Amino acid sequence: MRILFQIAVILCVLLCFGAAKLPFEDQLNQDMVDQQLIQPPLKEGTNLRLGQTSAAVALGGLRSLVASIWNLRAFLHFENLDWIKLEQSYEVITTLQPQTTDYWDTGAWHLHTNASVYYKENQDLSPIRRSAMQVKYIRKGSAFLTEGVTQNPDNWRLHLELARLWNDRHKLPDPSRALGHYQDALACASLPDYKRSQLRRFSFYVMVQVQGRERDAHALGLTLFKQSTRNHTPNLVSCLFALQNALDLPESERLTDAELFPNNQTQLLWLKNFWNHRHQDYPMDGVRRKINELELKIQPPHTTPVK
Amino acid sequence: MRRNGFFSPARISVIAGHTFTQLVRMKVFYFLVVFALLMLATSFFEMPWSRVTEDSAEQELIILKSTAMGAMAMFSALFAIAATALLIPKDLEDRTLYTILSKPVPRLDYLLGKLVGVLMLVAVSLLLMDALLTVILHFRTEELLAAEMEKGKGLGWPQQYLDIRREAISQQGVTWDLQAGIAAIFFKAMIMASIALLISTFSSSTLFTIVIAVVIYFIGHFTADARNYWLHSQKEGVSKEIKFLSQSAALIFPDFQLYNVIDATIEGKKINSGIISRLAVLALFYSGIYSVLAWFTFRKKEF
Amino acid sequence: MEVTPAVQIDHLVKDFPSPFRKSKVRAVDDVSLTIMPGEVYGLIGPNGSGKSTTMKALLGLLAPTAGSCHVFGKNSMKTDSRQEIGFLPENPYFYKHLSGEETLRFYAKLCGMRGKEVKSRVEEMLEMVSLQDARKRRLGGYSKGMLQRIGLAQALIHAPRLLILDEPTAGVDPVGSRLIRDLIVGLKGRGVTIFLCSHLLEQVQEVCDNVGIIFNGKIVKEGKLAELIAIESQTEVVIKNASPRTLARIRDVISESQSAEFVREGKPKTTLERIFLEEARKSDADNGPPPPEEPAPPTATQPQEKGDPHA
Repeated sequence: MRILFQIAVILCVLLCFGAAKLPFEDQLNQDMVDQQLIQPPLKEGTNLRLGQTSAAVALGGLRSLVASIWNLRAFLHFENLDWIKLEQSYEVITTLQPQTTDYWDTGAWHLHTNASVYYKENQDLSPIRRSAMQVKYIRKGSAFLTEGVTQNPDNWRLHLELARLWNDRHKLPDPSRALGHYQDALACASLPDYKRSQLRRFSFYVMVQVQGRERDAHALGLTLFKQSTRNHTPNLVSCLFALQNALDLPESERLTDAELFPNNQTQLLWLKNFWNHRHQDYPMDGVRRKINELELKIQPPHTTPVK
Repeated sequence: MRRNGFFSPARISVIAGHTFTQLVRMKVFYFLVVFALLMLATSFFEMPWSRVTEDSAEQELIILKSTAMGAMAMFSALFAIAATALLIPKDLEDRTLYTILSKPVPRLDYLLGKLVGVLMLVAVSLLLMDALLTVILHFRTEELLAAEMEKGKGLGWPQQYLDIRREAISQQGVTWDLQAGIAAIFFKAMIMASIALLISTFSSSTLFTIVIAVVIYFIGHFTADARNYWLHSQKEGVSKEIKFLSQSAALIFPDFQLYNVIDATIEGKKINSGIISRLAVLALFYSGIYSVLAWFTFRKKEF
Repeated sequence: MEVTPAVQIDHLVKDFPSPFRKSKVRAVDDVSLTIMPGEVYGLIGPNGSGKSTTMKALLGLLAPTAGSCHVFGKNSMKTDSRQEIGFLPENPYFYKHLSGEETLRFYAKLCGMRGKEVKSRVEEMLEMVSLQDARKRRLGGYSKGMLQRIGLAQALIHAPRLLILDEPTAGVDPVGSRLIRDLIVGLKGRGVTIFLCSHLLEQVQEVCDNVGIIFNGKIVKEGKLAELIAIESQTEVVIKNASPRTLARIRDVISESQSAEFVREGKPKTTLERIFLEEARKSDADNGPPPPEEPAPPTATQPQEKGDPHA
């Protein structure tokens, strides 16, 4: 009887003090969530399973350790080419540590690159099946990164990974989709300033490849060009050159060759390199003609002309 | 004749010191050897799974820290529960409790002495592990930083970028924020030890104490959800039972999720001192309440 | 001025809840006893008769269901009352990881002693119980008798005026037992009040002034030991080197008396304990240092004192 009485007293005391601590705890919790020090309680809209979430929450302080161990296990699955287990492992890992970019990144990379290449080159499969599996795993990788983005909307690196994936011409290149991801990355508050101009250049390169966005691309390219000499990269300058021709701009809106390129030799070199990318969707308007023109001007005719 | 106050720091420290010696001679510090080996293994381990990303240096440091901090968190929580649950029943079983309580020792002093002794051991082991982690992390950071700077200079990065990279990598190295994370590990152990103390004053077996303490540990990680459900949920049509349940859980159990700030420190986030001192206040508040309640049941306990 | 009793137990009742029945088990039933300062009191009774419960109540380890216990006028439920008590539990187990010296230091500090006081007191106690040689050894390696002695030292570390001993010689061999007995006698000589619980009657008989006999939680007999065990109507006479003639004359004298009656005649027997102790002493004298001082072995049983032994 005595013990029941004691437990009753203990519970009463705890309830009373609990009422006192509640506002303090709630405020502290709020502040820590705001500062991204702890995760907000059970986020809605993510496709996390409740069981996994519970385990992840309760492992407090041990989560990172368990995630590291699962990461090791995932590597074993990779070595065994066991893609299904690998995918499951990364689901667990990212549930445990949803804020660690590297896990989303590596998990997705295993799927969209390693697994898809494995199926692409698997001679045991019929050609149709091979390509179907390759596409399936590229999409899995993309979906994995998208889930990461849903949980970390302000993580520019995940947006960038998505952009790279959809800009990869060995996979399923989709410039307009890649452009969207670059723009998401640029919209992130977490993006450091020194990365910004590089990402804008990247977004320019994909925008150039999107059908019907030539005018926007030219405007962006021009802004970047005028902004800093650091942006005067061979690719950007060559794109601008071709875009001016493609849009058939009047002289007044054009930058002259002298403004665009440091000198004739460099112009030739840059444009020849650019020409090598002609099988991608870059505009090539006037590039070939200019190369020939420059070659005649600075190189003796007996040297091998560009084919 | 000597007066024997209700509460004597000197006497508490005698019992605490003795408890500490007792635990040390139970050879718990062997754990530290395991920890050291683990640390060495992790620091020499090149991550085979990690392809080179923008910040592989940071990621490598994070893995090192997470292994160390995970082991520290696990050791201190388990140890705080097990040692506290074990000590009082052991004293009773060996009848050493009789000889102590038949001296002019108030029972509160005895309980606090035991608690402080266990916490001293947890603190000392955490400090030792912390020192080891700091040394290894320092050298690893310097190494990676040097490699990164060399790579950057080779690639012709401007000084501004180099500085940014330097800062980003250093933030994953030895920082006060990391120390704050270790403090959070200690606070968690402190709360767990006082919960185990409270349970052990009315439980009749060590196993029962440990099981209940572990259950409370897990429930404590959902206190935040229960509280949110109660205070901030907009949903209509919540049954009365669920509402009552979430309310009492939020009131009775400590919110351990707050101490998961450990995970944030592993990821190299900055912790301001306001947060850590509020966590300290909360930990002291809980330990105080649980100790007083433990005394309440132990006060009239018969042996 | 009235002297405060060292121990005053008034109508002590202690019930324990019985796990399977509604009724409670009464372990101690209306026990009252008083021990004056300087007395040695023996509480004897079979196992489970309530001896230990009475002791624990006196130490504040148990709360009385009814009645009260006072030590030098202080209620035993108060911490201060234990300042005057030294307690040696039955079969004491101390912390095995501590050495003898560390154990004593620990208890000394618990009693509030500090610095030099601790050091000198620990020395004194180690010497008293002859454990100087084993001071650095961990208690895990102590024999039963040594543990009992360190227990006694621990109980006396803060120079209490009352010593409570629970079966102090249970499980100890006769040599160790004798050593403890001598310590008790020595303490008695220094005026320490001793409350002893035992079911070893002989031991109680040797050292106690007053005795209480407890059965099923009730004191059934209490009083001065000498009075309790003397056969009032008989007188024992022990004679050395008596010739048959002398003995015949004595018998004649007795038969001449009106009321006296000759009961028996024979050789007094020594006790097994004494023979054992004597043999142990002899072999020690041959092989090594002599054991701690023993009282000279008497050649015959000690006659029970009645009144003044020299009369």
